Amino acid sequence: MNEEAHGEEVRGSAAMPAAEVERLLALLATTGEVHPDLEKVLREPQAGRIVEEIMSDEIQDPGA
Amino acid sequence: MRFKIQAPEASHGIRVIEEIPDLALCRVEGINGVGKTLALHLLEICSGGQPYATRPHAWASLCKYLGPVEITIDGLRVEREDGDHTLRFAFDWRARADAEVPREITTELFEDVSLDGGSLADMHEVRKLLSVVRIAGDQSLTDTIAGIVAYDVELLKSAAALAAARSEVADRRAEELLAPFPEAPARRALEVAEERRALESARRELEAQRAESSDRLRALEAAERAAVAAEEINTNAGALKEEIAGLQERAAEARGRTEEAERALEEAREKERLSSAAAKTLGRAESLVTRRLRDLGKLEGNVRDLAEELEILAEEPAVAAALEHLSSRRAEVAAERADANDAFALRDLLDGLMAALSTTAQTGLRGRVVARIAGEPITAGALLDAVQERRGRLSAEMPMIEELDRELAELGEVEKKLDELSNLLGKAEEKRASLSEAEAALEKLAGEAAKGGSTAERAAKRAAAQRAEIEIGAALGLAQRQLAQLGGGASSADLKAELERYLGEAGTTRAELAGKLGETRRASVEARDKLEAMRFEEETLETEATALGRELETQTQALAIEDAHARLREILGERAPQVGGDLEDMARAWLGAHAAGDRAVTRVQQTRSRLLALERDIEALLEAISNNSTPGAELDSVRKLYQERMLAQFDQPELLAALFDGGRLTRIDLDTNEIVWSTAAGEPRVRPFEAFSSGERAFAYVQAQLATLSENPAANKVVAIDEFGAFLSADRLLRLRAAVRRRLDEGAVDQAIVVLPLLAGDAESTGDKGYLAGEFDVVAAG
Repeated sequence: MNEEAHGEEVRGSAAMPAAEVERLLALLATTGEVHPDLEKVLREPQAGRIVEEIMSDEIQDPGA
Repeated sequence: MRFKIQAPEASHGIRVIEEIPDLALCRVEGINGVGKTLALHLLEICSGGQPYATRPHAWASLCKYLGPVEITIDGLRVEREDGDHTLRFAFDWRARADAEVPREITTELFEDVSLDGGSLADMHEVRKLLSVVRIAGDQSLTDTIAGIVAYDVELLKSAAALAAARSEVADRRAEELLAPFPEAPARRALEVAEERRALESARRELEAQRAESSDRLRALEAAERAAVAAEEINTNAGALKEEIAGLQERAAEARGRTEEAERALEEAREKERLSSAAAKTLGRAESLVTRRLRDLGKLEGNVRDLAEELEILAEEPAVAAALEHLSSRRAEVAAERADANDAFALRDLLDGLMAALSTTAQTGLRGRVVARIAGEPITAGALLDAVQERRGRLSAEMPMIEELDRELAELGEVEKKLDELSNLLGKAEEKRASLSEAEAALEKLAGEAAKGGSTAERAAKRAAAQRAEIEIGAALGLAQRQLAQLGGGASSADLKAELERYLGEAGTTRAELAGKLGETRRASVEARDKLEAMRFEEETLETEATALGRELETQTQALAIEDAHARLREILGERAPQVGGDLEDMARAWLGAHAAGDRAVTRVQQTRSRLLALERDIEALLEAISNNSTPGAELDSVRKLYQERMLAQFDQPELLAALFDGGRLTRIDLDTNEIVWSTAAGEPRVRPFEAFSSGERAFAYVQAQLATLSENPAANKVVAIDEFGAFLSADRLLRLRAAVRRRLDEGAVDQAIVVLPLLAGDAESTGDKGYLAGEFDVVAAG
């Protein structure tokens, strides 16, 4: 599956409008639940890239 | 703007009003169920809103039974003062009945979205053109608060669903990246390396133990030999010593007698003057006896030496028995040698048969019968196979000719020595006979001489004494040699000292020696077997390590050069496995890549867990609010969060003026379900949520919502005020109309639609449509 296909995967019924994402992140910020991974998952339109970025982090700094 | 809605196949009680006229302040009155609110919801969706976000069941039902729909909106303004454009929407959502409620309204939800016949590809363009906001008045204050919280619950559920979907994609992506490089070889390579190190360590330890055990075994075996030798001395030395002592005594006596005889002979010679002839004769006789005695002594010495070499007694019967045994053995060996000759002949015969039959088989006669044995046909192929099989067994069975020849030669040597011993024994017998003859002659001469004197007699006595002395000396020498050979030549004291020294080296005692020796020998054998097994296992592991190394090297080369793995190379960076690197480093690098992939997938999965945990807490708070109960202490953090948010939400001038005496809100308490505020005069007030009347809240709520509309950037802003009629008295309705009119005049709203229930008695005037639409006139409405 290529990057474009990953992008398609997360659009459609599961996608959230940007305003709702911001509202959710604000809610999570007030509850202390905001996490870089969560922000990536909510903001990054290409799910494949999310895991690639986190994997790269893990390679450079395992278990950080 | 005029709104036309066509839903010709709506079923199962779903209805929607067909038209809302182009009136700036429009009133719609209709019977229950005619589809007033549904029309407003559809318009909200067409302008990009989602009124069903928290009502999935209502959405599913709508999709299932609404059927195909066409909505047209005329009189739209695109540029300022330009009001003659048309938006058209067409959709059929029946295929979406089982799908989730779409959080984001996109053009994909519609079959057609067009402006003046031109298709619009993006809802952003629609949102810039049109905004439809519905303000509902049928909610209690508790419902309003619960609605805000419920929206967040749905938001979190959607986010969790999104996280789940992205988690699945992340899982697949990680799998795509790493699947061409299976983890098992790398993991096994490290295991094998560890096993090899452990095995090598264990082997070295065992070898050290075995070396130590070998030293101990040598000491124990030396101790055992010393113990056995000492025991032999203890058993035999006493008897030999007694025998030697007796022989020495007898030798001394014999020597004394010889000396006595010599003296007597000398005396006789001196006393008697023998005639020269008699003296010469007697002298020759004496010389003869003496020479024969010497020859006999020498011959008997040779006999003893040869008998010792052959390890038999120096007796003719023993020689005869040994020769008989030798003859028997030689006959056996000779028979085996003859068999061997036959075996060679048989081998030559079989080789000839094989050569002949092989040629025959190659010419295609393999299946032809060449003989019959007991009536059974034998083919050339079967005979060739049988001959080849017999030839193979014969090679394994053929005796070792050289070994047989060597044994025959050895037997010949032994036979020669036995013959020589037999010959010596015969000669010794002859010597004894000739000596006896010489002695008899000397005795006779002596007897004759005695007539003439005693010299010859005394000479005979001396010869007898000398012979006795020689025999005793021979016996004494034999006994002394036997004693000297006891214990390997060492003395009893030396052997005891040696035994103690080796026992000390072996760390044991005489009593424990036998047990320790057996135990150490068994341990030595076990250690040897274990070492052998370890060497085999080491070879096996080395073979496996080599194969794994090749596999990992192939993987690493593929990663380094193939375009398909460019992204993985980029992700791994300098931590990527290196071609030509150390096997264990390569394996660790691959495992590191897989572990990073696993952790990355887990981290993406965990985002969903975080969202669901918060969603559970907020949902629990929502349930407490809806049931008017006290939330648990575990919900304090989210309760306080929403108290703050409610306070901000309600802190609007219209609401403060309408509901809170124009004062200042202090606290909205979701624990006690109360609102605390202070009046403009600073007096504190507390009121439970349920104590606010519907009319008060509805009026205040619509005022507050209207106040927010001016911020909307759409070119055409429509506000629909729904479900308020039942709560508003005529005077408040007038004030509401005035407030709406003011917003229209201010340009904050372009069109207002007030939806009211149909007054009693007006049902007939609606005709088949079931609703009326016209200018919002409070008198008419009231």
